[in-house]
Amino acid sequence: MTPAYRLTLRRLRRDRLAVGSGVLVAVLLLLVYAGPGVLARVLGHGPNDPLPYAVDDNLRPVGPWTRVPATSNTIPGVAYDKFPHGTKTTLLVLGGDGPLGRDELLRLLVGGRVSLEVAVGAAAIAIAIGLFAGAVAGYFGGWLDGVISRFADLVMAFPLLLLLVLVGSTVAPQFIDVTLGFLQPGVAALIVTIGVFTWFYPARIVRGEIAALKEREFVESARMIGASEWRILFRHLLPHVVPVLLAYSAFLIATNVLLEAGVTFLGVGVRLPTASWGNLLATAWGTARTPSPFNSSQTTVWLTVFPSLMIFLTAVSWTLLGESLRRALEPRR
Amino acid sequence: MIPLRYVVRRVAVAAALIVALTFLTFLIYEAIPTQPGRILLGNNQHPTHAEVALANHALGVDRPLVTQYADWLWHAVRGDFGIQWLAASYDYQGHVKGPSVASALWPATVVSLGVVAGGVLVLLALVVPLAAVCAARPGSRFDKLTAGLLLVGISTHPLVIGILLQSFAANKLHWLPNSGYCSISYSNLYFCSGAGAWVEHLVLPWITFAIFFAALYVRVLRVSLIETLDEPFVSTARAKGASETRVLFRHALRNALRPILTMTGMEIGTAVSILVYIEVVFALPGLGRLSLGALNGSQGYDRPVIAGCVFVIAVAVFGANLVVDLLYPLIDPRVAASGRAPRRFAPRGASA
Repeated sequence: MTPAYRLTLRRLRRDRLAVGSGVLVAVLLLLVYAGPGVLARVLGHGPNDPLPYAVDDNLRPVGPWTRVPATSNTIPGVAYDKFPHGTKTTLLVLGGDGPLGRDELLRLLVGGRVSLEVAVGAAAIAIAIGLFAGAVAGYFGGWLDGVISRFADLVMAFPLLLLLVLVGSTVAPQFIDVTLGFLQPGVAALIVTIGVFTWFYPARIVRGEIAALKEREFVESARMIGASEWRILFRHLLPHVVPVLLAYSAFLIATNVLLEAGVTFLGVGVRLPTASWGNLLATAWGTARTPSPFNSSQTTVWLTVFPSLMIFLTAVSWTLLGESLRRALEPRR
Repeated sequence: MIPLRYVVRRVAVAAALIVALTFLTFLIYEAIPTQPGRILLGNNQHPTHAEVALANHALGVDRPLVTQYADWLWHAVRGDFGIQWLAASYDYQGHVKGPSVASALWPATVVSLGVVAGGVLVLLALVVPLAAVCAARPGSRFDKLTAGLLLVGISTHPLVIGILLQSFAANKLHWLPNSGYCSISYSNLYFCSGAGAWVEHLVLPWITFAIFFAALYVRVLRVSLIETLDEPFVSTARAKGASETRVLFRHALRNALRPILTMTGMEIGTAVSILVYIEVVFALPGLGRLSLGALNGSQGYDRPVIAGCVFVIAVAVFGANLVVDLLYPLIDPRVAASGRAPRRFAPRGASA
């Protein structure tokens, strides 16, 4: 580890906000990835098990901390007939998730995986494309810079959401079955869609940094000892933009979580039955394509509050993490 | 004075960009495996290939892409933007008839403009006092509290703001209608209309719009005001005996507006995105809902409507950007809108 990074780490450790947001991010990740498995064992039902007694006659789900008869479970290793109907109850910590009466907490955690995978995956794609395009535009300049910059300006001026909906509802459905072996259906398509339309921002940052750095003496010296253009770009210049991009990717993840929820809510992102925070937000309200009319005997406000809270916590923690990373990596700005 | 050559050049560039964007829409449409003719054959469950081909021919989608685009452009120039595919049908002679895109586009534009106009007013009423009080005593308890609230605002999804407002203020407390739109001009043809009903239905959308953007704008205006209050002319005003309120509103505010204008220029695209969320949550028949409906895809995609929406939104975005750039010299005479784009974020020392 270079001394510069050791210094950064020390600054981060001293920053209470950085430690707090880092812990929050870690806790959320742990909850989302390890939580459902552990909780399903403890509670005795899985995230996709419908519990018919978790809804009332109007199909309104029960509220938080309710015990309902355990009538089904799909957890491997736990025999179903150990729980005869009505004799044993199971706890719904955050209540039911809607007319099907599944566990809201487990669905939230499982859905969080999808939301975070979309956010991180799309951010990775955006950073990768942005790094390359921005570096090429900033270093070589000329017509290449002109084309990339003007194209970025054009797309950035137009509303991002409409572009996402346009591509997400027309081109992306053809790739809904691409799972790469570990993703839920439709997630890969959404990752690529969001990534392809958000690389302009990192590209602009990288372009600015590279264009300023390439006039410095160390580039001149590298060229003098015979380093090739690509070697100068990748070995000497790109390491300088890593700190900025590191901080920016945290912001990008925060906005991508919001974007996933929004796009899914509009009915073009992650599709049911796959749970995501956008989908869970839409269970109470319906999506833009299939809105469920307001019915006071069916709606519980919990179904809006819980996913909103998860989206909010994730966005806040990643934003604060990005903010403190930025401060720690370049304290002079 | 507005430099005419500059405006003409900007308008020409914007026109070229709008053509590029709408052509991009046509290109994306080419990438979908779809038979637009099937829309015309709506009640025919199992059309033959010949029938589909005939319907495609009637819609004109069997022609080359460039021809189709030129045709759409011609309709756009004439002002009707073509026929809405999803509402089209055969007439007795086998021609395609239906309402024009313009007949759906302009009413939707009016709705969206109403949401944005009111939202901006609420936003101003929220941002200016908040930023002024925060900037007057930076670091005070009120300033810190506001900064915390702004972080909450910026991390909350606009959908969530809208849905929570709707479920509490409308569904629980019944203060305001929970969704829907009423025309502002009175007419007994509709279920409701008139200015009062219009405002009543738009208050929650306006508040949603304002809360989302307040976080961004209060931050920028606060920093800008703090910087401006440090400048010598503010000390001069104070020395002349002007009250703190007068210094803030008469002397500092106008000079602090430049970053706000820059933000506005950059955030117009975001505003349209927020508009889509707001229109969906509050069921307002605006541009966002219109384009979502055209993109629904269960019956087919309505390309003329999509292209029409893209056109209007692009005109709005580029037009607003031009207006913002023309406003710079008005609020700050140090910036001149000459033949090239005014420098944004020009260093203070260099331009003064």
